[in-house]
Amino acid sequence: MIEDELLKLRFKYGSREALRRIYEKYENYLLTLAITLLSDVTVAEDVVHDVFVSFAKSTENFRLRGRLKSYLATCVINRVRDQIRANRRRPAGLDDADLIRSDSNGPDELVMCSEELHQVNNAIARLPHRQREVIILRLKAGMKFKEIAKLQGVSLSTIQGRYRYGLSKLRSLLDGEVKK
Amino acid sequence: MRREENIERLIRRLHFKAGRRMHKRTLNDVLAAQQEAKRAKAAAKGVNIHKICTKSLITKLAVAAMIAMAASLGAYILFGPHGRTDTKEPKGTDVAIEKTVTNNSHLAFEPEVRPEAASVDVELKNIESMFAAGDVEGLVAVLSKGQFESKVAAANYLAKMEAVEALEALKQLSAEYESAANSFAAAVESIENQIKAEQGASEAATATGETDTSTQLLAATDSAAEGTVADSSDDPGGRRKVSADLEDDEEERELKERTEILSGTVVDERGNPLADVRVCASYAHYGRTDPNGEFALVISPTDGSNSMGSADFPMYVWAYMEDDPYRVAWTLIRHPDTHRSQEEEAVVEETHQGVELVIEDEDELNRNVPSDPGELFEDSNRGPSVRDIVLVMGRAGVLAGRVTDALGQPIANATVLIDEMEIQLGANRLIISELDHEWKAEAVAVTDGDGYYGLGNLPVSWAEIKLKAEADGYRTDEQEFENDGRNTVEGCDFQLAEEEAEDDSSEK
Repeated sequence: MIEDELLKLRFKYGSREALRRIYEKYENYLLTLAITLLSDVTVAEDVVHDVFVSFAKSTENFRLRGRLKSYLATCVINRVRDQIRANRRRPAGLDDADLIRSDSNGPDELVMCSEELHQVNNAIARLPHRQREVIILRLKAGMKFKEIAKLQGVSLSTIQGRYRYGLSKLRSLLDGEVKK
Repeated sequence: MRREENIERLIRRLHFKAGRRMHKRTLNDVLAAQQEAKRAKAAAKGVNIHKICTKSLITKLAVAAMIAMAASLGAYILFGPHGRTDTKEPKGTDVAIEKTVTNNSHLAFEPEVRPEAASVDVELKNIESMFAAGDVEGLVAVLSKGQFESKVAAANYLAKMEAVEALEALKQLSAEYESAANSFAAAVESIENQIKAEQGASEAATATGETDTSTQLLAATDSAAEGTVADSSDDPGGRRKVSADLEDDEEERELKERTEILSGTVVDERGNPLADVRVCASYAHYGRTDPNGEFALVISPTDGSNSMGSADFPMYVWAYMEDDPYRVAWTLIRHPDTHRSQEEEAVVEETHQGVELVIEDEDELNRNVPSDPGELFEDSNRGPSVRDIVLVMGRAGVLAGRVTDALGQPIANATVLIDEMEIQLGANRLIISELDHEWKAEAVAVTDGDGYYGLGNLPVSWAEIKLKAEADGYRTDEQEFENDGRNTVEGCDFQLAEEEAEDDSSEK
């Protein structure tokens, strides 16, 4: 926690090392967020890229009292939403080939952790975007239903409904996969 | 069949790792962007060597002395001995330049001296960040060392912060610059007024262990002694205002934030305040008590808890001293509106951060929650705050054990963390989960060279604790332990199996 505060301060004064550390610290977290939200690895990488680049440019005007991690997460969430809105992209389902499992030293791909998680991720990709967003924001970004409701501009009960439906859909998707 | 909870857990564990190409490309772009931003900024302002020089105090003085010397030399040449200015006066270097320059404004040095304004800029910027960081000492230092403009700015900020510590320094300055439009006097006045106001308020409030500390402080300060005591006993109040003021300043923030504050005192069983105790709460920044046992924790809606709204209740708050695992102070803060719900059976209160309270019997709960959870204040400007929490230090339980590999060899630097803890409060249960690395790192122990670990500061009313042991290259293991009434359990041993090569651990 204290590290982040120091990083923020050093970053504000233009420290290159601080920026590098911030990037390395949160890269994977943000990427995970973007990938699960978008189900498109390339676009997700771009989103994380852009978020960090504009973050880097903010150096001297940077003033943030809140936590770095949530701030960056919010940036990613907003940019993902922009992406989806702008492209009217119905996020495509994940191609299985996109997620090559390899060990952490693998040359150039994403690392998935286990077969089970791999399936979960594929199942998430098949959810309707709204349900997926609720689930990811809640579980990965730690947002509250209330906040998600505000973001999506619908009522709290709708959000809770979407969450529940999303989860049970996931369950049936996963169960289906097991039977296969 | 999978249960929904199971799926939730799986999703939480879902992690992607950036590929090397993406990592490199982005990092390069990011660093380049920073570089460019800096360059653009420098270009906009005009590259200014003086600005760089003046960042360090020593070079600043050196440069100032050089200019002053050169200027006085010039003055000497032009006007003879009468143009001399005194460069020896320790604080006077800056002033000396100004004087010399005004006397010799036709000299070639004039553009060189402009950067003086820039150095004020730098100082002002520093002051601003000190204010943002609540660095009273730094600001006081500016009062004695800085340039006039900086002093004024520092005084204004200190007044805003109601920094009693600065009172003396401000008084001096106010006497020194009597004639100048006196912001120092204004600052003194504003702080003193605040002291009076808070004195009145705190007289009515607690009398907890204030007597012995107040004598110390009386000795330490002179005229404003009583005020000082009143104010420092309400120090969290000061901080509270700082953050509130900051909010006004930061309109351009992307996130609309409100700041919640938890404030109170940590005392021992006899009611004596305890200094330098670490205080943690489910959603808050960590904090420590000051010499009066007071603490104030900020909960900004975008803190590490990932919470982007206001804090949730029930909230678990605890305090401990790092060197004593056998003591802990804790309490449970609930929203006042939720207290009256006896009619229904087994009410569950829950936060999204994993604090869950199952209430069977409200009265028993109230009897069994230790310490004083304080009072909730709702302020439309500042957001809610919980004040006057009193945490009473009491006995704590400890879990200890050893982490070994499959062959019984100790594993060093393995982490053992509390994954879930259930506390029995009469017929009610309080379940605290999601005690992960990210923001409740206090519930983590690391094994020593022989694989031993100890996790202390557990509330004695704990009923069940689920521990998770993790080590690089090994499979994570979980075990549940029950409290057999002795509160402390030894032999919470883990044997970790080695990880298979392809099963890259998802947890950090």
